Amino acid sequence: MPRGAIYGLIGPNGAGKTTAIDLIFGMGKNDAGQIRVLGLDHRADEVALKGRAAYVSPDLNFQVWGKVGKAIRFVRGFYPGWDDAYCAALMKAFRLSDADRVATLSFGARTKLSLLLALARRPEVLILDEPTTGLDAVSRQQAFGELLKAVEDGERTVLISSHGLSDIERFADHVGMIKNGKLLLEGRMDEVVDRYRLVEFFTSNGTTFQTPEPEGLIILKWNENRWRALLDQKSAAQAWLQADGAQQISLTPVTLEELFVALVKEEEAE
Amino acid sequence: MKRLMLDYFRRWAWMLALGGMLEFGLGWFIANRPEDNFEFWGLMLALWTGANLLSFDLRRGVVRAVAPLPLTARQIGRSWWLATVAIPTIALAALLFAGAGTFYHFQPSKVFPVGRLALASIIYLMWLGAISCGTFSATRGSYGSWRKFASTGVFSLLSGAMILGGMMYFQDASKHSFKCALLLGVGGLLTVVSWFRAEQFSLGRAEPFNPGRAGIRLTPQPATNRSTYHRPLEGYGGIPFLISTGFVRIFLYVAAMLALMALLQQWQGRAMPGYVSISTFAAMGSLMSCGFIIVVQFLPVLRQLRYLRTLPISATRLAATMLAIVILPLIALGALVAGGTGLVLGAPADLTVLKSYTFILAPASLCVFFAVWRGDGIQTYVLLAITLFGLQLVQLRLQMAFHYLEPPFSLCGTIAAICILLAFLLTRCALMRSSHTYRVQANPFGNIALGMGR
Repeated sequence: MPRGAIYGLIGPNGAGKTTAIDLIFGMGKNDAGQIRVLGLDHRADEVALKGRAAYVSPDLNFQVWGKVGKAIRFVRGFYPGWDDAYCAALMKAFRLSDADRVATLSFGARTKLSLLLALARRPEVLILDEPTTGLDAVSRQQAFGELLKAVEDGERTVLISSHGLSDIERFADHVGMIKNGKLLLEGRMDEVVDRYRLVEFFTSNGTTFQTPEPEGLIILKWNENRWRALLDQKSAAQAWLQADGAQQISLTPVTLEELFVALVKEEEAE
Repeated sequence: MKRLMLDYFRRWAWMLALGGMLEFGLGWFIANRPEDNFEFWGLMLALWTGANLLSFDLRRGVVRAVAPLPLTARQIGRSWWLATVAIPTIALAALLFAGAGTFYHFQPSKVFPVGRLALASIIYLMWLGAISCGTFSATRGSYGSWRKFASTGVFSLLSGAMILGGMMYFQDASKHSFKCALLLGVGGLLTVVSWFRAEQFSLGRAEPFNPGRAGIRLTPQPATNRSTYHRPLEGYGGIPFLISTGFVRIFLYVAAMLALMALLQQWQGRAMPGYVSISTFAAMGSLMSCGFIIVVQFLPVLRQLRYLRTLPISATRLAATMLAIVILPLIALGALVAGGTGLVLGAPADLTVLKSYTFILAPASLCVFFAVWRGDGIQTYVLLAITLFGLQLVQLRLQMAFHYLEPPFSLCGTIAAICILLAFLLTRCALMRSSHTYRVQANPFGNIALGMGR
């Protein structure tokens, strides 16, 4: 992940997104490989890494502290660089109060508390696991607004794991797609999305395009002679289509969601 | 309703089967030694075959799963009451008689203790009813009218006192008419209340809208966040804050509980002087202190483990913190109780208490490891019960090995130190290697007790 980027980590349920994030914070043991964040090894430099990184998830539970103010006091004690003024501003923005009982906070408000505790320490790396779960549209905009403010100096890096692909497409500048612990796709958002096109074409005889399709072409659906597919523009698939008798080929830009569905389905088919 | 009950029995079959086997053994025990007390073991079996199991389901959000089923809240509550009170009482009584009958088959010369077995069966109903009342009262929450707040509070307190205090006070209820009457009276009341509580079972958020007397006029909701403010709190934060806030609270709770225990012991006629009385007080006091600290103080912190692990502290320090949350209050309580006992009763008594509190550090530290390793689930509670009672048996064995004298302080201290060191290493290992530790977070907790609301 390049420093200063907002990186969207996407994948179907059970792909290994949360496991990957957990491993960064030492929750569990990696089977192989190495994890380095800001040049720090996640095991050898555990404390230094956690001092510079923050984690946000709706799974986090703060109820033991009873009240929001006490949870803040507890977390603040770990970070010498804690920004009280920013914390107060975030509390106002998120409509939280020191006296609020954690137990009576709504699900969305608990996510906001988790986000507040992460942002107010001004981390260099912010890791968010499904941060917008339970947030309404306004709160989601607000949360992403704060995130964008946090990274506007270009020094902070954000990793967002989410199923909200439209949010990822709007806010992330890099994207990585994983399935079964394997990285299917990775790169700059504009380059990744621009690389693929939805292609529609006709054939005179439907049986012409039977599997196996050429590399870079994923057939999404067909109806007699009308075909719809995902095309990798870096492959030779377009030339293959023209050579193989496809007619009226039309290319349209692809959304991240369409790309995600096509790639995951292809992986499952394989 | 039948399906709901069958579902409950299927899920808890292993636990109920284990309880059934022990119940059979208890029947044998009562027939073999009719003069001995059975109430404590009856309570323990009722705890693990009754509504306590249901409370685990409730914590895991079973209400959300059953709420959309074509059953009313009343039917769901009644099903669970039948499954956790009525049917277990009948089954336990049958097994109790079966155990005693089997013993009588092999020893026909002995008198078949019908009276004691019948009394034991009735006491079972009382225990199961009290536990059920506590569980169903907790599901109601204390919000709403003052009447609801008061009734929930009173019956929760009564159930809690009956279960926790009853472990000590009602140990020999079958031999004292007053205690027996009190147990049957309070237990009977709680059993009846538990039936009505089950009838009024609330599905939390899934409860259908009932306009009641207020009609259907909509009124604005009171704003909970009207004043948004933040004033940075003075003083330290971090791990010292976590330990100190919990420490003070739990120390006061348990100290009050122990004072009450001492008073109860005095009140029921067991004079404090005397070796048996002191050693019973020391053993029960340390055991209950340990159990209370783990359940009330440690397990809630354990539910935040996922967050604690993301903070800039090493696994080593986190493991030490986890142990300190349990061990520090136990050490302080041991010092307080030993000091108090020494002041009142003199030198040998305070050493007995001190040894007991030193020895209890061994199972307490192992319990910390089990809880961190397995999370806040039924497996943890079973492991905790086995560890606490297992090491109590070890202590008894040691006493027998020393010819009914107390084991020396150095031996207690050595065992405790070894167990603490072992627990520390294992906890650290679990924190570093196990992903299970962080994924099993059974209790999401909502704004209604037992996590039903959300």
